[in-house]
Amino acid sequence: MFHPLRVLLAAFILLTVTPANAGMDKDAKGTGLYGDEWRPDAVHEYWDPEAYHKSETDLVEGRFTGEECIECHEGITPGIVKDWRQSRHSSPTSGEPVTCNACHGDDHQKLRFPSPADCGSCHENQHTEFQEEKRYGFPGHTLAMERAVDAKHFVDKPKAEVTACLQCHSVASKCDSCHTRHRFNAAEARRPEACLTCHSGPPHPDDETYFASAHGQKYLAEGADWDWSKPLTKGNYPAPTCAYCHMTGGKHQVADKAIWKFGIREVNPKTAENEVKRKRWIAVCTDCHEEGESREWLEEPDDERKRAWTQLYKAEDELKSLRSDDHIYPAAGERPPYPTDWLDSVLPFERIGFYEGQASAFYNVSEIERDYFEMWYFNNLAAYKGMAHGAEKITSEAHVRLNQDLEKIRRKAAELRELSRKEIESGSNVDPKPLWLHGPYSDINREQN
Amino acid sequence: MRGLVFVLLALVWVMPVGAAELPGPEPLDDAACIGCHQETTVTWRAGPHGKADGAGCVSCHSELHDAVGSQARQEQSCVECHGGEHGAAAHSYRTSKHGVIATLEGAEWDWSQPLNDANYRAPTCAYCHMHDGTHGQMMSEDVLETSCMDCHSPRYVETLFASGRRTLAIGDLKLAEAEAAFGDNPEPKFIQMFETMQSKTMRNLRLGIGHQSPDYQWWYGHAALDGDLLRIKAAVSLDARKRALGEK
Repeated sequence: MFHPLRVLLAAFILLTVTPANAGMDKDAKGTGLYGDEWRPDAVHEYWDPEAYHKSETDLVEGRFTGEECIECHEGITPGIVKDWRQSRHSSPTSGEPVTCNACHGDDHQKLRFPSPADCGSCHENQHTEFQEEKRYGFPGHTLAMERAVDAKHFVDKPKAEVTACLQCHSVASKCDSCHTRHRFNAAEARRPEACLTCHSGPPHPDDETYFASAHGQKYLAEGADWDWSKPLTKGNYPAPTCAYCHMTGGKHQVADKAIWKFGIREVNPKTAENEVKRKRWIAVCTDCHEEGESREWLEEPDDERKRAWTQLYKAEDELKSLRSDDHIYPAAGERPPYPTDWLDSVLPFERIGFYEGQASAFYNVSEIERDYFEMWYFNNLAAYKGMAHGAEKITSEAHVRLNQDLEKIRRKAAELRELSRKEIESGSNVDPKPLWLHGPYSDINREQN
Repeated sequence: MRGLVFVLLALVWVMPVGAAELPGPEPLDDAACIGCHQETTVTWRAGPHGKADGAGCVSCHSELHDAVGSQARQEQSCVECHGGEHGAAAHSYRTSKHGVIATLEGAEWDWSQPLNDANYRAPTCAYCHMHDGTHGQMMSEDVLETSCMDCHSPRYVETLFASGRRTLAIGDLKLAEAEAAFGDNPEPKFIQMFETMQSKTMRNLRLGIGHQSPDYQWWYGHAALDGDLLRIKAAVSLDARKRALGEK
């Protein structure tokens, strides 16, 4: 069983293992819409260096040339020096080598982590493309950090819990998410594996669906022998990879063809804007396939999304009907509210569906709401990703699960109604508050966010 | 007599083995390895693999003496016992940036290199857990931290370890809240749900932190613990409501 001492120890660690960080400002505020409401964890300086990193000032003094940096760091951190020696930065095709000080500065007391803008001082086109991606909105890479820190659950939860979010959402603030340091190899970023650290798992099984597709299977069989130094253009690769399709021609944008928006919400796939995006897709597919065939394939997700949303809306209707009949247990007023949501504290309200903020309704909610969250965020997104990447089996299995989810939600809704009816009849009333409002985690969550 | 046997055994124990006595191509067993590799044996016995249900020499090094280090350093020698290729231990590593680099480049690495000095572009199971070739305390934070610092700065490593401890502590609080939910009503169903939360989901979180896999820290870790916690509370709530109605 769980030892009570572990609870004490856990609380002790949270309160006393303070940021072991020489650099970060103790009064540092958060960023984004709710920046005044939260304080970053020490580790955030590595996921959003431009906002939080401060150079260590009590370690080494002086200004150093690249050669001097390498002389010391060869002994201290040999891995990064070995990597750099094998990079284009150490032996460029033209000009002088790009040494440590070019990106980190030469004053050891004012060292910095290079931001995308720093990389952009040489890699100008890539940086401009990357920044311009913003105009397509989310999902995309450039807006990923804003998207993370503006989420209610990110603001609400203890920051040491949600650091995992930033490991991926930091793709907006660091180029080394794809071009791992200190080799920064373009060839590495072209491989599909370069994407899977973030693009895998329940809500975004890009990894699983791509490798299960005919394209992915061809890559797995032959990819090791392809010449990855070639640009991502027609004729260079026998099968497409993540980057080949989503970053056509090596353009540093992934959102310029996003029609179905990850499958998170229902979209009209036939708007004029989406027709432009569809033409961009067809241009990529026709590098290998016929135009008519490509257009037909691209209509399959339109139909698949309709089927998925039909089921999701039915499930949403069940929940909304439970809400209006006051059968959700515990109801919104009987469980912890989001501290930053003033409306929720004045007028407690169960968030159901994308537009009401369901994305944050996966904890401190009743079981049936979590069931809906998993239906929407896991099985629905798996169905979409399978369809988009050509993994039919994953899509059909996910649709079976969506139907099962709907059945389960309907069955549970009926049980909840029946239970409420009996309680009203017999005058029985079990107060959910003691169980749902408090506990070692809920209490610290309220106080330590 | 007993003393004499002891002295003789001790002599065999410390007897040096010359190059001429290197084993031939015939298959070896653990006893044969232990006879020569005494220093390694001492540390191995003190670590998790040296326990009664641990792993012996030939489990990782095979029964042949040729190139045994090169083989044992590779992931395949670990995953068979540690949950298989698709198990949480291997999957959390494979989906980390370290694992991605090993997938892409590992086939070209010189696996005869010792496990130190950043001889491998990314760390592998053995590089961190058996850093410098240790066969002993594979989960020791000191051993693990030292391996990180071959590439990362001490400040980065310390900050990440401290943050990992805080992330785990929050997981412990969720477990405590789940257990407190059914505290005075420990039905087998609640205990089973709690044990799964503890042995599977909390383990995912630990693996996510140790192997630096965002998915295991979040989707298979904390976000899954949230689901486990509310489902335990929901089961306890339902039970209480049925009891109040006299249905149980």
